[in-house]
Amino acid sequence: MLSDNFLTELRKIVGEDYVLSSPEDLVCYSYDAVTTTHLPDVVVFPASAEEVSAVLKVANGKGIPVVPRGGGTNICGASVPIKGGIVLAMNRMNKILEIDTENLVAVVQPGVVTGEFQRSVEAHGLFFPPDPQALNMSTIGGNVATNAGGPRGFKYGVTRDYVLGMQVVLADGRVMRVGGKTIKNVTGYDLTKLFTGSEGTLGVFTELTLRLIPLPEDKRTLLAIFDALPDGARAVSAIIKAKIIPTTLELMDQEAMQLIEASRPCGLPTDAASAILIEVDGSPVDVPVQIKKVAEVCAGCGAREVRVAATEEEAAQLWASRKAAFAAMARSTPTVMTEDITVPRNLLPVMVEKIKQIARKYQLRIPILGHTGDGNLHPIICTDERNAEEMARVHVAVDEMFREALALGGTLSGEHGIGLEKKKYLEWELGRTGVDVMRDMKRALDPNGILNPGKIFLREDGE
Amino acid sequence: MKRLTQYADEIYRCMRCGACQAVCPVFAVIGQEGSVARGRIRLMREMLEGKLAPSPRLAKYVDLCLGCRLCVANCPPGVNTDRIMVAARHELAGYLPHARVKRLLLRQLLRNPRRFAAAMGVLKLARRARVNGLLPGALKLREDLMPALPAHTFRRGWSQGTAAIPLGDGRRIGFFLSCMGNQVFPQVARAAVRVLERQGLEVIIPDGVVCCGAAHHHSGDWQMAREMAWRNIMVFREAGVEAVITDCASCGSAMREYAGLFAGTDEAEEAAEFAAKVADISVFLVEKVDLLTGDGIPPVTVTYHDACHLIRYQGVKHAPRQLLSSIGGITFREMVEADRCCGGAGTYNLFNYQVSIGVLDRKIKHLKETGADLLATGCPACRMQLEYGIRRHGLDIKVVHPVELLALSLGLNTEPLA
Repeated sequence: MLSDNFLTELRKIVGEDYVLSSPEDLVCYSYDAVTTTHLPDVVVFPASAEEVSAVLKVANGKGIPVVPRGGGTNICGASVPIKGGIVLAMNRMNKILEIDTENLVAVVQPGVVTGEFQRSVEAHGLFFPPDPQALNMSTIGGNVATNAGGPRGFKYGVTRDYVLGMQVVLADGRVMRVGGKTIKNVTGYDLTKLFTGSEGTLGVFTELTLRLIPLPEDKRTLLAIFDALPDGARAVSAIIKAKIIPTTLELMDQEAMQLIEASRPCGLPTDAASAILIEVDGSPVDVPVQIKKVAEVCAGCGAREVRVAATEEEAAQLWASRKAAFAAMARSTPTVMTEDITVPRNLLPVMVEKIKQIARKYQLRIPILGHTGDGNLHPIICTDERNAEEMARVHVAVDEMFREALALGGTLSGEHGIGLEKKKYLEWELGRTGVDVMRDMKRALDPNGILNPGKIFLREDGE
Repeated sequence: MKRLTQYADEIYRCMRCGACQAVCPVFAVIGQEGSVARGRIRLMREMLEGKLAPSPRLAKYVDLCLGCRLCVANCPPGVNTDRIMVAARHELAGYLPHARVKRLLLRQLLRNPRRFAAAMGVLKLARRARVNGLLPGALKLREDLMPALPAHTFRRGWSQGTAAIPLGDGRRIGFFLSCMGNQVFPQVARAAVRVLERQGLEVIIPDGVVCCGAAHHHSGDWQMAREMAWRNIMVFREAGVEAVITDCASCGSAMREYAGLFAGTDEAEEAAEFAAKVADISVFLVEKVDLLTGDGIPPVTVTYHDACHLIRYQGVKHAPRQLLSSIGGITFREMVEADRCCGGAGTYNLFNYQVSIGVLDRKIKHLKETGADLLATGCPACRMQLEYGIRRHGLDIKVVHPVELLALSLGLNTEPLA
């Protein structure tokens, strides 16, 4: 419990209306998209870097936890105030400060919703490619804090590749600027990259400078259907060997297709092993050549059917199946848990097979979606959080999946983050030294451990 | 907690993905979790688990839901937040803001057509005597939400049976005269009935109908809603009609859901039979008759606003657009976010004025961008709200029901568009 004096201090900083502490409001900021929840002691909505700084100063003085929050849509538990304290809801700071069409950069506040930002720059013929699934409700600040990815990652990279600079408030309230509008910048350590993906544990963003690129003029979509999973994987490699980099290479396995067809029929073959939804983009001259080549390569690799969308409507129809996937899974079960293990691209069929073995072994339903271009797999565990016995099997299965992914030279998380959900596995991938170095950095920047405590690391200082 | 407990599984199904945030009109204005489905559903879960006690604040967050179903349409697991909120209003009845005023309005005024007429009469009188200007600021704002009222109600200006000559195949249909159609927009009801008659249908407008009960149901008053629903069901049974047509989106959606109101009772079957006969006038005209559209109207650009009670409560999207496009002289121009709630939501604008205006302003911005001369919509509550928004922004756009334009095209509109 925080003292009345402390709450009064917070109200002085941000204003009466922007401090919430009723039990009802605390419940509304106790969760994100994972199942673990914890009540904060207070929710504060700052409107400026000065206010963020003032809040951090008083919190740091008293050692009170501060958890920055954007859309609260992440699936690693990064926004859950697991140690209570202050939830710093950043969504009032939601202005696009500048779209600089000469330097191809934008300067934004962290609370801008990603999808709205994308539509704003697209109106200028520009493109901000990172496209996490939650882009219509997640914020830029949250995306930078979790280094969000998305289907376009293979061709266009992830959020990290578009962050040029930032204004960030440190744990003690000091305000720092790093990076800026230039593409080239080797002045000192690359702190911009350090803070990107730090999940709110190192500082609070108050302004972000983002790189933009020209919006591709044209795009085309096709769906390739395979009777054997390795054929699809061979096709992906062959496409890349043919010097084509598709925008997306979205894999749906048989179980995923069966669920989609049961919930919202889109004409997917439920007897095929997999389907890959491929989109290419570029100039109106390039695109038809690319799509033709992709179709040929798929056919040559044993695709039993290749559906090329002739019109925008047909493309939308093909995409409808992939877009319906998550809802289909969510409707089939009380709880879905989405993992995002990532392996080197050529080992993707091996990993898919491992996941299927694990699912059989623990009698779990785990349909798989994936971004085949970058080896990022989403096994989606369909379960029920109220069934303790099944949840125990889920946890063992997840342990096993991670072990297999690491053995293949992969990583725990391609695009979701560590947060609460995967901190147990951090040392498996980084080793003792890796974890120690990260904790040293954390200690240097946040000696009192107030910023998003309980995340990324299994043990806090003093535990 | 009986009504809410029925939804326990659905409440647990919320995976807190936050997809509702992308579409919730109230969240766009308030920006806090308590004002979006994810927060509301979580609050209900905590209340069911006994971790949160019913409270005025809990009730306030429930009350702030427009019931527009935008979140339901966008929800991956398909949680019916609107229905859960109706159940929650029932459970939290004593804690709801303005509970007594609303109960008075619903139970005394809206339940009885004569009392409603009397209240409208008082408002007209006050406006004529210009004493409405003396109302205190907050009340004056709310009075401004009401449109200009017609000189006569539909009932007073209509003599039953004059034009009801069975033509063609002698099909006989019923017309549900809504409270709003009778009291506030009688010109729409007149246009609707004339258009139906011109299609060769015998139109029965029964005397004994009462309010459809939508407002009572939405506020959680099941008992009152059932009482009125049953009366309407009986009245139309006596009329012996093949269909019950309405020009009101909200009445239509309420009556089409009468079966749910009586679920598990002896009346369920009869209610379901009635509900299946109910149709919005646009749908009926486009799907059930060989539509005569007449000579067309002078050139005009028209856009269309989807009422929540049509697009998401009844799945009506194409029929009104088809109807408009079939009338000569109309250039149809779609607006951005045509299916986004206008913030009217029955009496929501009266009780949550600031939020409602925030929602409305976005709608008016998109309306303005179309450059349309006319805005068509199939819901009288939306119409009042949209007319208010248009006045508020000083625009010169008229709001009409699609059937008014059809009546004009058929040479049936004896009165100019408002």
